Amino acid sequence: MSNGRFKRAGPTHRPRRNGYAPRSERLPQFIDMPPGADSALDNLTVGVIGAGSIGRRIVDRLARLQISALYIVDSGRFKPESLLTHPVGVEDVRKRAWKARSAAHLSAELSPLTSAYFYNGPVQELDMAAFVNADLLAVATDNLAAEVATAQRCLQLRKPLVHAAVHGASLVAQVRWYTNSGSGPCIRCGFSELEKQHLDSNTEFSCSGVTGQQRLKRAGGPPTMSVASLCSMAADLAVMSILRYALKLAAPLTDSQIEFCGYTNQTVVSPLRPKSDTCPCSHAAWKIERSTKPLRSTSLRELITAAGGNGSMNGLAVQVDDRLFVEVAACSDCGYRPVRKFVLPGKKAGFCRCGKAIYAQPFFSHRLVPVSVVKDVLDRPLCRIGAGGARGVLVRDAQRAVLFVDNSERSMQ
Amino acid sequence: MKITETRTQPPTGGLAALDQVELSKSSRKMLADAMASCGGDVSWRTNKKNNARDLLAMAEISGRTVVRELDLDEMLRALIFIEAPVPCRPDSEGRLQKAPGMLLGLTYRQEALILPQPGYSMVQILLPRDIWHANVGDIEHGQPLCLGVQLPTAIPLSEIVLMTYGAMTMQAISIDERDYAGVLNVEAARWWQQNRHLIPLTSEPFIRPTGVNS
Repeated sequence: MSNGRFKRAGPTHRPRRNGYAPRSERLPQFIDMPPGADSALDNLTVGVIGAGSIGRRIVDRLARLQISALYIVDSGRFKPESLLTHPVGVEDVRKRAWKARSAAHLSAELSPLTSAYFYNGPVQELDMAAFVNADLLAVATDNLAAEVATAQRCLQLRKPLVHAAVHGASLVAQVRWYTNSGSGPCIRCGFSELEKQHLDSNTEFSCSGVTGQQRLKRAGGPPTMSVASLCSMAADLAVMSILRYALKLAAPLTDSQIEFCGYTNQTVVSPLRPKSDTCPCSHAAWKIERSTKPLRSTSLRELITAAGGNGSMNGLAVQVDDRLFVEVAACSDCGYRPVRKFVLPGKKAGFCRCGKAIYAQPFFSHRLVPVSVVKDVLDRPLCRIGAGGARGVLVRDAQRAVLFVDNSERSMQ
Repeated sequence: MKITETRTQPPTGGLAALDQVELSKSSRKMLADAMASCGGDVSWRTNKKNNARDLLAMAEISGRTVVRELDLDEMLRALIFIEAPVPCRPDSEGRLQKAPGMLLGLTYRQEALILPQPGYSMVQILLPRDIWHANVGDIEHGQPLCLGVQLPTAIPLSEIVLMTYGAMTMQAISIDERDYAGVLNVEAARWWQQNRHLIPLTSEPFIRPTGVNS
């Protein structure tokens, strides 16, 4: 089901510079920062998951730093209550604008130097290579499933993750930094029993997912009760961490959390709990490789060889984006038909001899597909087996996982 | 002729104590064969092994279930047969047809350990092909069975089988066609609303009492 793609906000041609000042006009020479080191911001790419009262402010701050690119994800639209906590105008609320799209357009307005991309849907629907070009991700959502899914992607891609949240009643703004270096914790490691229950009870799927339509019906609990200033505090603390990381200011960030309490005006920094032995998330990293030629003209065998496959098929599996390898499809009149190719979730797998469309049968469809199942198509280029538009191919066994991404500028869009 | 039942006796703890069931030789072989090509990291392999073992144990004590195939290469896939009355499309005179059993394709993906999954994502009814049930989708999409708005994180596979038995024998069912979560066949939902007196198809428990093995 996860075949969402980012769209770009604003002009795709060379940016206008009229009316825009360079960052250097206001950026201080930070203590101990070598001259010119701020150019790291020119290359900084950040994924922002959640574009609400905190995430939209993170987008705002990062756009004003004129970073290279922002990838913004949110499945929600503005509603009247948004005016209470979100830095958003009446017009966007009146139009019930998509939060991600609106934030991306805000970024494009503030900084034509920043490429702003958005996805109006759950982060779970983006394919596995979606954030491969990001330097780090920020998550600020009241949706636990999105937090867990983001954390899992960061672990796999070894991207740092900054998690910003608030507890309104106690005036606490909290920012957690996850290095995702391998031995550290993930968001799921720190879940309490209550949070685990909420993760289940606050997620609902629609049956329309059976036919490949939008499947997530509801995710997230009751809205966060807070005030705009507290959300702003959380966003600013998150951006301070991002700035410190990008410009290598002071000591490197460790797995830690910063908590500011408005009641006491105190800020406390503490280490995060270590990785939990019972965490179900895979903390293993993927190695990222740029394919030497377009993925569409590459065969699975070439990728397996490039990944260091020793010829043994045992335990080896491949995944092409979030496509399904379909062994068998069905026609409503004629029954089962063999297929043996990759198919986008929910899309037809071809046509029956009777002319009707045929669809993948779930039991005979694989996302992570054992190589023994695809052995007869290993030598065909991906474009010949239904994966011409592939942006990422994962080759995995028990010891390692290599993600091959298409070596083209457009692969992330 | 005296017929001796060879079914494994349920443990005193019932289905909560499946790990105490001693598997038969054929089940042990099926599990060992599947484990030989079991892929994934250690925790996923362990989870698949435990779920598969429970499934085999459940089949042995239930008196109505047979595990036909087991595949642990990546996702856990099991082909199982359950003997139970299954509703099929009514005949031309509107009389409900019933099949004596069903062949299920069960799939359990690694992400089910981390996040809740859609209710329709784990069970496909491969046979019979003319299921007449509000919560079962069309043949084109593989007759998926929807077990609710979501399946909780890391739900045991044995629970999925029990839920499937309850749903398909209509001991537990949602037939409100306005309910976005669960109803995959609106026509069948409306038919069943008119024919509630036929529900459930059986009130037999999943584990057959000893001596009623058919």
